[in-house]
Amino acid sequence: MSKLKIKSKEMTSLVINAISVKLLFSFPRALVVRSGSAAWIQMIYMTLIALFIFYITVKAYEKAGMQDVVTLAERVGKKPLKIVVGLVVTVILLLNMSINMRFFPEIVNEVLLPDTPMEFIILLFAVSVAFGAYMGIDSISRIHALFLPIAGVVLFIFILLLVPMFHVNNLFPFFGKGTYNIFVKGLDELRIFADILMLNILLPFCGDKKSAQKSGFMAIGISGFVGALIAFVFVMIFPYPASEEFVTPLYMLARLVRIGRFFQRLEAVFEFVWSIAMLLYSSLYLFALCQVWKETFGLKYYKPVIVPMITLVVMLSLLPETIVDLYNRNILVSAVLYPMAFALPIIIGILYRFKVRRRDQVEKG
Amino acid sequence: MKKVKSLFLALVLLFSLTGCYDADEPNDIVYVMALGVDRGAHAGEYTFTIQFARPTQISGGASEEGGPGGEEAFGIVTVNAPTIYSGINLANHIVSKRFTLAHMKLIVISEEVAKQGVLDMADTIARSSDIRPNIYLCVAKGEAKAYLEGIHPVMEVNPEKYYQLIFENEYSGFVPKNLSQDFYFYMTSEEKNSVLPLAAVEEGTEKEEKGGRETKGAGEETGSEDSGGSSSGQAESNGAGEEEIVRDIEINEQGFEYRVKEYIAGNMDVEKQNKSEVMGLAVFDGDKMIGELNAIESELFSIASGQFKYSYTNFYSQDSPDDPTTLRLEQNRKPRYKVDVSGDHPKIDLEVFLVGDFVSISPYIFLENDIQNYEQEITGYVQEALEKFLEATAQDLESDIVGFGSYAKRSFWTHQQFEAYDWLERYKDAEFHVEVRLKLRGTGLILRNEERIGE
Repeated sequence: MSKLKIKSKEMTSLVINAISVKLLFSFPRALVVRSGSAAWIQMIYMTLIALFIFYITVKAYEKAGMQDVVTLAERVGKKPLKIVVGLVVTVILLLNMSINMRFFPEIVNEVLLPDTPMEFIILLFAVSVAFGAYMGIDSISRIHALFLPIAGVVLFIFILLLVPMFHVNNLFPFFGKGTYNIFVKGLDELRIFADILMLNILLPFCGDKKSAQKSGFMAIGISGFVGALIAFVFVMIFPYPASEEFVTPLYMLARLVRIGRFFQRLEAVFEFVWSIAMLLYSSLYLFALCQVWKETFGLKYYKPVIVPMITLVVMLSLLPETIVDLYNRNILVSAVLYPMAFALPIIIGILYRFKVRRRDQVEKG
Repeated sequence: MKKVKSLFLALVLLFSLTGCYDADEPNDIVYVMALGVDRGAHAGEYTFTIQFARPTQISGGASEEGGPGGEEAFGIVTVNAPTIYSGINLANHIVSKRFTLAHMKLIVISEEVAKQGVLDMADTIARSSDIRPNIYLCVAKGEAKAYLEGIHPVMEVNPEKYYQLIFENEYSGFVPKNLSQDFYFYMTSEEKNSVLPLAAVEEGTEKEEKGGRETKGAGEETGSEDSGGSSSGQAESNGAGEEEIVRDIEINEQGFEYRVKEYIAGNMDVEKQNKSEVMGLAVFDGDKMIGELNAIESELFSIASGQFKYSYTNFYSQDSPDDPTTLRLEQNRKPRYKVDVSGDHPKIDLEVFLVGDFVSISPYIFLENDIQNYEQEITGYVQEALEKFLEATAQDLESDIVGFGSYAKRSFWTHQQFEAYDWLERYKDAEFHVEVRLKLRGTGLILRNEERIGE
């Protein structure tokens, strides 16, 4: 158990950013591709499902105290299970982070720095991320708590400025590509909430169980609301099927914002928020990766792992040759790894419950 | 050790953040203001006319006075290439500075290219992070190059401002407002057809520049003004240097925009220094231009689609057929649409809200005293004009340019159902019911009284 405790507000900010940073990139497009004009309905539906899954996780974890999934795995199945679970969590985090480590510089390269070599952007970004992780969870969480309200205000102002471009008719047909696509196939996109795993990894840093649960529910709820709002605005402005084509919907929306003839190109403000959100997200991810590695192999400190881990992430991020390969890899990761991010804490939690119950029965009997 | 680490970090930041690969010196860049696209001499090739800014001529450079503006404010380069960016690439080898499209305001596509399809152009515009989504697109009757060459802004030092004011003019119904983003959005849509403004260089100007302009000596007769027929018109000029443009342009005899000529870009009989003009609209089916509408039809389009702000509009009056009445006509509310798709053909209800103020009335009649009757009379004219316009676009052009399809979507649960209904195919059989709510509000600063005049 860590001596360092993160406040409930800071923990909520951490998890909100971990979940909703994907909304700044291509996630809203994925919703539209799946559900058409009903993308926002799919987001609301997924939020409810994610809340339900988190509720099950909370129930499964009832007897586990403040232990993260790796530590709990050791309680259940000794060291071998701890190493297996630790490695699975590491792979989930590693692959996810490597995709984002490539995706962000790709977009930056496309819209901001077209002449700068990709490797240079990745390297610079990696150095910043490593520095963030090195500063520790306390600094990361404080900056999250400071930055997130600013990001929220910027998003709110952007949405207000986009109101004149809303076309209510774009919300129709109401069920977009159909109920089967929204409510059955749409579950694939539940991956956005898989980063709730971060709360589990950071559980030892939470003050108490109740505040951790509250942070989890609030983070899912707020992220879901923000996601539904972004999908709603995107659908209202970009009519289907053109809306299916834009890789970075929020950036495209930001490009449309203008105040009269004088104030244009306000996407520069958005790009700032975008970069900081991504930097914080990646720093948190790298910290979590190192933390899991430390727990898995019983290391004393996480800091020596930062450099090898970021090197590994950068190398993995450079594997896809093109952005199309990156998308395909993202689909693979979504299909295989994300369900595990949800399932692992539940499985380990239930196994621990059984173990505790058996132990109690043995003690009683 | 801590000092060494700090120093190392500071050096990393120093070298990585103080400069970057993407630094662009404004002096090294030349800003494209407008791009013309014409069919090239060879298959798959376009002729791109790049109109670029000369900032020193706009600002005045080192001098304390402002720049001369006008045609000196920009330069033109023409290249042949298969795509926009390969054209820019070629142009970069001609001009000493590097072209950027980041501040481009207008893309002019020639009618010939528009009729063959602009899918490749639209794709480049949407794909490029340089080109803004809110640039203006228009179709040039004749050559796009001629249109750009004919631009000589009189009121603006900076031509970029000229484009902005011409294409974003909210107080003229004769030109539709359509940004590149809207064109791209609806190009592949099942719910509506796209339109673009029509632009042209004044007819005859092109010939003149090529040495072929017809001129008539002083005293010779000019063409008849009232011989109706073609709306394209012909240009003639009389006298050496002195130009009086007379064209055969059909005059509208309907109650709405009574006695206003059915102008379309290129045929305006207006004397002006700037030979380029924007008037009317081009109708698209997907990415291909299929027809054009004149200025009055464009105004009706603006009213029906709710883009109309206000304009000075002429109306017929039964009491004085020879003197049109001019109103400042304003659209005070967005139109209401109701689309019924339950039958075999769509039934469309359009309700339009307008407010008018008298600006000019025949001095021999007293419409002020009979304002309610005149209100009813002109309401009928607008209604009739709108119905004719909608039927013409549906039956002749088979195009839903107003976007009733967007309202039809409300009757369907899924995209698949809407696609199966095939809106654009069924639209040509649509039945229209137009309701105009027009209120005559003001009489200007005077209110005449029949009895007093008669004294």
